[in-house]
Amino acid sequence: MRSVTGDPELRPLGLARAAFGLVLVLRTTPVLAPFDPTFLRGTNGWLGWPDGGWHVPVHGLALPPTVIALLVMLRTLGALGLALGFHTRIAGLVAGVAGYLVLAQDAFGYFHHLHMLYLGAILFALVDADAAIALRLRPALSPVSSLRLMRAFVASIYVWAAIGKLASEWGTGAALAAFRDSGALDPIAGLLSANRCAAIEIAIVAIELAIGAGLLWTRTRRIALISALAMHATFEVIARVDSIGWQMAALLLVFTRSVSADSVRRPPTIRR
Amino acid sequence: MGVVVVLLLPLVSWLDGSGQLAWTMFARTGQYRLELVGDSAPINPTEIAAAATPGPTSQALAGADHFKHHDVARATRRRHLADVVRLACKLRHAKVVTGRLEERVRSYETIRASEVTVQCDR
Repeated sequence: MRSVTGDPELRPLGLARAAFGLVLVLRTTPVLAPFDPTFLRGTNGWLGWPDGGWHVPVHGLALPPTVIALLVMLRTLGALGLALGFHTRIAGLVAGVAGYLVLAQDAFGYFHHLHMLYLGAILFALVDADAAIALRLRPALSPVSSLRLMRAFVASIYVWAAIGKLASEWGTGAALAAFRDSGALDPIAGLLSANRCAAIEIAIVAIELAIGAGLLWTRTRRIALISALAMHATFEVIARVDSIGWQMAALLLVFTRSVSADSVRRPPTIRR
Repeated sequence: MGVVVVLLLPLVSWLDGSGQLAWTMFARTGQYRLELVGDSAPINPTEIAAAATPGPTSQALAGADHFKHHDVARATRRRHLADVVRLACKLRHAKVVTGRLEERVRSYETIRASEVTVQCDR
């Protein structure tokens, strides 16, 4: 078993990599087709597979259909390698680079969560994510900086998301009202009055900022982690958020070690 | 590496106005509307969408004759307005097609318009 679980210190990183690789496979292939998820409707399931439609390539980077099909296959093999921890560094790079090249075939196909998938795959390839929970384990080269980089990356997503909202109209009620009117919040549309929209917007920005900061400190990590998972679960239920909640849940696993380690290391309370 | 991923990439995308690499998902309230005219006759973007199907281009163009709320699509459409107009050229076989994009980044801002005219290849 030790031959798969690897370095105990880096198990959170290995676990996050495996989960993230799995989400990458599920989001870019037709594996979930029997469950009819929204993101697979009207497609053959292979994200970006040549389809004969009109596409607007980014920077004129139009590749022949055969090459795109090959890239989709490489991306899938890379994602599988990332999930299983098999030649992880090459697999993550191949999945990320092939993913970006396929994404570049249609400027209108860009979404934040796809950028997150491919950037995440590349980052997992560059850190010591293959030192634990991997079929092919490799000795860690820089375990501390690997874990710090991935944690900073995840925390920064929350902070940037909050900054983006602060720089926009969040807090006025206009943002949620716009999403409500576009039909993206149908399950709770009836509850979203103007005043409530403004209050919810302020709460979401505050929670995102608190999660981003809270994840970086050991003392607040547990509550930040729980809050983040609860927030993503809520978004998953009430809004059309594609796979972003699952991606974030996978990434959040990089914070799990501290939670368990802290609770083990905490000195016992002395009762007088 | 950390500085590039955590700071530089998001900052650069803030500077280009799109925020596409700055994790601005669901943050912005940008709206857009597209008008296309080929040889003085209006072309409904939904017609282009129908011809472009399948794929994300068709989804982005469908219903774009009315204001739509999608900031990433707004920013992408402005950046690739000439490409969209060329798609219209293919559909209508017109000599000249003009695309006019009306947009606002925030709901209270005045509408900005940008226009591109393309001489279609015959």
